[in-house]
Amino acid sequence: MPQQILDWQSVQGTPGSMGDNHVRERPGGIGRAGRPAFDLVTSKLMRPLVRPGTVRRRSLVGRLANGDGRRIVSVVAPAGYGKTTLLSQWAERNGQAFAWVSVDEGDNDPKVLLTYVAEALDAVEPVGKRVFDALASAASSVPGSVVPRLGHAFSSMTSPVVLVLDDVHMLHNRECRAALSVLADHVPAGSRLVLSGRAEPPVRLSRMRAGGTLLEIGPSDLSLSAGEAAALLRNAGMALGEDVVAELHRRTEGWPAGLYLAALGLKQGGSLGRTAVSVSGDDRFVSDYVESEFLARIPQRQRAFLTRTAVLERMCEPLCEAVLDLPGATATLAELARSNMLLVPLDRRREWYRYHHLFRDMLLAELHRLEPGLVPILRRRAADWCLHNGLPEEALEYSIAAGDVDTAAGLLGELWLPVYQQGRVATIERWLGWLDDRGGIQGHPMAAVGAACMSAVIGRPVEAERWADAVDRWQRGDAAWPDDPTAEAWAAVLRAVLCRQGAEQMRADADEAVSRFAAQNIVAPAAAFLQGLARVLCGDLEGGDASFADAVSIGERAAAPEVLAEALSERSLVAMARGQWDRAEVLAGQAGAVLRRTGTEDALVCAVQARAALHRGDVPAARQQLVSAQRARHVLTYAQPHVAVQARIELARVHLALADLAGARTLLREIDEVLRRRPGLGTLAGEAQELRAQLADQRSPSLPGASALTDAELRLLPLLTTHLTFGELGEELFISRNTVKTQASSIYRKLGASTRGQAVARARELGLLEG
Amino acid sequence: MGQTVRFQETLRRLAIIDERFIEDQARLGLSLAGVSALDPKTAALLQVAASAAIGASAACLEWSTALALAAGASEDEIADVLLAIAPVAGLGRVVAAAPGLAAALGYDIEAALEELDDR
Repeated sequence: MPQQILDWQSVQGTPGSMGDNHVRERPGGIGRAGRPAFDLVTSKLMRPLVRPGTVRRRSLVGRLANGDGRRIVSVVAPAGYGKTTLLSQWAERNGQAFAWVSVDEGDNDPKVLLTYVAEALDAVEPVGKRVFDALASAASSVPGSVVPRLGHAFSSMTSPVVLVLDDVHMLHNRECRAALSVLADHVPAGSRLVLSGRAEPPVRLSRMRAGGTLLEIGPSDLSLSAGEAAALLRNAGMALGEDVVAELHRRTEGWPAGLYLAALGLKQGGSLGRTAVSVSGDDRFVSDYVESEFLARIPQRQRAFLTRTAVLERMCEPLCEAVLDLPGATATLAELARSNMLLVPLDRRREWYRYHHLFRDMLLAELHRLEPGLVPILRRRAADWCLHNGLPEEALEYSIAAGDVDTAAGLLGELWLPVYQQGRVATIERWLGWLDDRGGIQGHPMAAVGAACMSAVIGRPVEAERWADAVDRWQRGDAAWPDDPTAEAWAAVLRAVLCRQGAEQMRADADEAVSRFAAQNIVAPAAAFLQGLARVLCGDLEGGDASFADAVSIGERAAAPEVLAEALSERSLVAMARGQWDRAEVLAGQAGAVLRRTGTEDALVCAVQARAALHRGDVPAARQQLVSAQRARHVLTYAQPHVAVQARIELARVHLALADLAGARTLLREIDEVLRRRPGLGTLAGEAQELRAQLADQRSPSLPGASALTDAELRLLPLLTTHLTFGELGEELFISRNTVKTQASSIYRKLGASTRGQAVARARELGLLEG
Repeated sequence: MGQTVRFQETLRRLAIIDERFIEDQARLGLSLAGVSALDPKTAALLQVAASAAIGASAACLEWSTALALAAGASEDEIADVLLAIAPVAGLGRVVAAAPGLAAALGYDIEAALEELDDR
């Protein structure tokens, strides 16, 4: 997939590598095949330790450990019911391997969530390079590649594992939820998938209930018995009379967090009886409860520390000092860490902590009530500290939370490329969406150029054009266009990618990009590649080949595999055009080898390899390349019209040579659709015309089979593997339910299937789907 | 997925017009190759015309349209079929057929009408 345009390694580092930080790191042993693309927050993969003094939940742990072969465990209860503690105790109890992921807001990017899942499983038993390859690619399909590969790896694990996803209620991204549902079907015998959170997990519970594969733990299971409540209070250092314990137990209905907070409050010298409300984790009562039972009783200084640092996702001493603007705050953190169970350590060095989620929610509510004006100021300080301590992504998140549009836009301009290269498209989209809603892209060229380039190469043409229009408006000079030479260079790349003004203008734009990058000493193989393509489109085969040769050598030096593979493919096409087939074969082979190493697919590279295979008479290899191209071609839209048309022309030639008229005609229709929007594609228009004439001469009919699946159908196909309904799929693809139904019927017919399951199975047999 | 119930399988395959199934089970020759005097594209366009004229279901329209595309007909030619048959088939039939044809061409009329502007 021509994400190669963005396959650009310059002098910049990846966001996580900017600082030395003990929370984010790249795990994995030296020489391990697969690696996560981005730096992981390792504490998310650590099972929280059970603190001494925690009430043992023996019978519940027993139920979990026994399990009766039920593969899915759902633990659903409001905050503070001890869900995490229970699971930790289970993990501690026996020798069974646990893979643990603590889910948070940032996991609403399927590539991020599933990287953590893969990483957690990998620590138990290697899941293989293919899984991490798919995760690291921005253009790989989540339902089409990532989920099937991960599902396969999970289901073929030889040792039993308990995969825990804690706080799954944080997941609202539909792709993430759909992925969990599919993973739930891949739990191998003897293993478990545990989904724990405040709301029902996003899997088909009713079906699992009926099938007897589900073990459910709810609030009534989790609430403490009177005996356990007494143990909790005793362990918290409270010597209370039996009647007081009974009263507390009655009032909290066995809600552990409530009991603990009450105990803390009493410890601070409070007395029982101030509140008559009964609480059991119901949000409406929680903050009242905290206020009356806990916060009102602690010293003002400590109270301010707690509420103000609650703006932090996680904290260390210097960060707390910076946020509070109060030297000496460190002592309070250390003291809290020793005494308070509501502060969770995140690393073994005891540098980073976070508040228990429930506790933080309460503290934040209190802060908003008492000092609402202070909230953005605190967040701004946090952003500032993170920015100066090698945590630019965290800085961006705090800026967003603080509502600092300009700071966020500036950071996004720096971060989009490395984050894109890590495959985290949904994360960038979330940032962009936030900025866009606040008009934050205006005045920040790099953010808009980045948004346009990214949208173009992942196959979202409408967004690409919208962002590109914004870039054009600045460059025409109506708004204040800040002096940003890098953005100028990228804007030229963007114009060449979109090729909205035809081949000649593309050539000028690509030339401009090359010289602008050169002037800044930035290594950008994409610019050389586009220059070569523009020259070929203008009929300059010689000059084109020279630029492609540049792109190849820069691509090799800059370790930019996608641009390297495409440039090699283009050189192969030039050789074919000159009749130098030996050379063409070698170049095509090199291109294929590059992509095999990265585990990605690219329709143009497939097309060139298919042509080479056909020329040497290897029909099976040619067919295989055609199928791979079907998986990859949907990202080639009119947002990169040249590669989109060129790849399809080459593919159609192979279909035609294999007497597959329906397949060739499907491609020709897509070519015509792109040409209708972008008529000025130079020599490609003539090649398309030639193909059209050849197809018109063919009169023998052929029934449309799998090769005639259209672009839209190929986009729908991987989503058929999920449990989403047609209506939900329509929302996902921005089309009506009716259209989904029509496309699905057409897919079934072309695959000779009469059910969704058969269609998916058949597509897998044919290699159109992985898994 | 549970056992396949034969009548359900039959109905499903009919509903999506599974060509091989229909040729085998209903012994209907769907191949256009048998029509020798007409080229396949013309024959396929005539099928579209007839489907629209008799008020065939959306699935039938979608199927015959897909066949016409595979036989090399262009989107414009297929849309023009409706114009060509309107005087004989009547406006009602033609209007009723339009959404089905559009769907087969990958054009979402419903969404297009709903959108503020079609770019």
